[in-house]
Amino acid sequence: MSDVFADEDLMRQFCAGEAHAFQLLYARHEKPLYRYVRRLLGSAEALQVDDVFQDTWMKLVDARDSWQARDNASFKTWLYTLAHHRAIDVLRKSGREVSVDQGWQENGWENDEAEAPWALWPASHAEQPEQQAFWRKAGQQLLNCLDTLPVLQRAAFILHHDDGLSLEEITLVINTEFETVKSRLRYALSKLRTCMGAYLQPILEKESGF
Amino acid sequence: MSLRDEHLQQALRHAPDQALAPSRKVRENVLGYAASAVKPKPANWLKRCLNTFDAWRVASWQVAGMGAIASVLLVLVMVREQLPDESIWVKSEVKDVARNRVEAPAANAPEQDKLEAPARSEGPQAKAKRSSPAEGAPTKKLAETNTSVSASAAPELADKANDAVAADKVPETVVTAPAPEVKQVLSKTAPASAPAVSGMATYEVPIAHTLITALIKALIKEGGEAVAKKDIEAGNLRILKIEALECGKTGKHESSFDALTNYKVVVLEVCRSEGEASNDKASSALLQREVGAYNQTMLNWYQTHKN
Repeated sequence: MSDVFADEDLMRQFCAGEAHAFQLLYARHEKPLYRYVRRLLGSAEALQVDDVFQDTWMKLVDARDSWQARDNASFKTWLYTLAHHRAIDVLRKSGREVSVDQGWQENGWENDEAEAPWALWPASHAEQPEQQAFWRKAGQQLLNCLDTLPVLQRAAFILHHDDGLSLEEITLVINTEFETVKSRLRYALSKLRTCMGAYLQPILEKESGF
Repeated sequence: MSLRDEHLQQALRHAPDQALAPSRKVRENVLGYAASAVKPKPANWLKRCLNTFDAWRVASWQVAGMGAIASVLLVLVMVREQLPDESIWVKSEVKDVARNRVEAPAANAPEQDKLEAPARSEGPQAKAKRSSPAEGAPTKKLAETNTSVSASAAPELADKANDAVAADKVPETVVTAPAPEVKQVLSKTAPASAPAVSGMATYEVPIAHTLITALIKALIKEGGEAVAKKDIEAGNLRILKIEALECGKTGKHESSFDALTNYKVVVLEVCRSEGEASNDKASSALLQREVGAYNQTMLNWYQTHKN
C-alpha cells in the first residue's frame, strides 16, 4: 500500500491529520536518511547521528504547514535538506567542518581509464564469496575515504550515488549553485578514486585471480 | 566525464553501514511525536473564548443591530417616564375611574357596607350617579372633570380612603358616606341640566380626585406651610378654601380665582354630620389651621413677588 502513494501524497495526508501516512513515509525513508546522516557526519560525529536523525523528522513534523505552502515541492528533497542543514550545524559546532577545497589535484584516472585500478575490480553482482568479501572491503574503504572529503563534496557524492538525487535536487539540498554542485561532485569522485585505488591496488595485485 | 561512478556506487552499496538503522527508541520518539502533532487537542478555556469571540465577530452586524434596537427602546422608555404633565394623566385616569365606577366589583361590598351603613338611604342617588348621562360624554368634557371632596379632617380616615383609591376600590362608596369620614367623589362633567350627584357639590377645577385626596393628606401630615412651599417651587400657585356642607347636600362651584392674587381657588368640601364627635371637630380644626397656613404662605409669596 505504501508504494501506491507518492511521498507527496502521503505527506498531504499527514498534514490533513493522518498519522498513518507519516508512518509509511518514515518507513520508506528511515534507513536511507539515517545512512545519509551517518555518512555525512562521519565516524568522528557518529554519536550525534541519532540526535540529528530524530531532530530532522521532528522538524519536518513541525514545519509541515510550510511544506504545504510550497507547491510542487519534492518531499524527499525537503527531507534531505532538513537533515543536511541539521548535520552541518553539528559539524560547525564541533569544528570539524572541512573546507571545500584543500588544493586537491585531480589525478589522471579520468585521463587513463584503462590503467585505472578499478578496471581490475570484479563485477559487483558476483556471487562468489571471495568477490562479495572484496566488495565489502571496498565499501568499508569507501566509507573511510568519505571521511576525508570536505563536507559538501561528501554530501554531493552520497546524495548522487546512494540516494539517487539528481544534480538539480542536490543543488536544493545543499543550497548552492548547479555548477558548484558539479564541481564538488567532480572533486569528490577524483579523490575517492584515488583513495580507493591506493587502498585496493595492493589487494588486487596480490589476488591476481580477479 | 561521468559524474556517477558505477564502481564507487557499487562499493557504497556494499558498505557495512548499508543496513544501518536508528534505534527503536528513536523510531518510537519520531512516530509518537508525529502522532501527537496531528492528534486533535481539547481546546482550553482561552481558545474557547477566542473561538466564541470569532463567532461573535462574524455576526457583529447582528450584535450591532440588536444593540441599536435596545438603545432606541431604552430612550423611548426614558422619554415616556419623563412626561410629568399631569393633565395628560388626569384625562386617562378620570376615564378609567369613571369606567371602574360603573363596573365596581361586588368584592368591595363588605367594606363599602361598613362605610355606607349609616346612610344607605342615599343609594338611589348613587345609582343615579352610575347611570349618569355623562358616562358617554366626549373626551373634551372629560378634561373638565368635576371633583368633589368630602372631608371631615380626620387624618387616619383620610389615609384609609386614600388606600382604597390606591387599591382601585373605586370611590363609589363615598357617595353616601357620612361625616366624619373623608370621602371623595369623582364624577364626570355633566351638562348644566344634569341632576346633582349624590348630594355633593362639584366645582370646575380640572384636578383629579386623587390629587385632592393627596393634598388633604399632605396638609395634615406635612403642614400647610410646607405644602405651600412645595407648590410654589412647582409653580402651582393656588388658594385653598374649605367649605363645610351638610352631609347629603351638594355644593356647586364654578371656576374661581382669588381677587387679590388672581390664583386659582380650590375648594375642599367638608361633610359634617349632625352628631359630630369631639375628636372629629379637632381634626377639622387641624385641617382649617393647615389650610390657613397654606394660604398665608401663598399670600406671603405673592406679596414678595407680585412685582
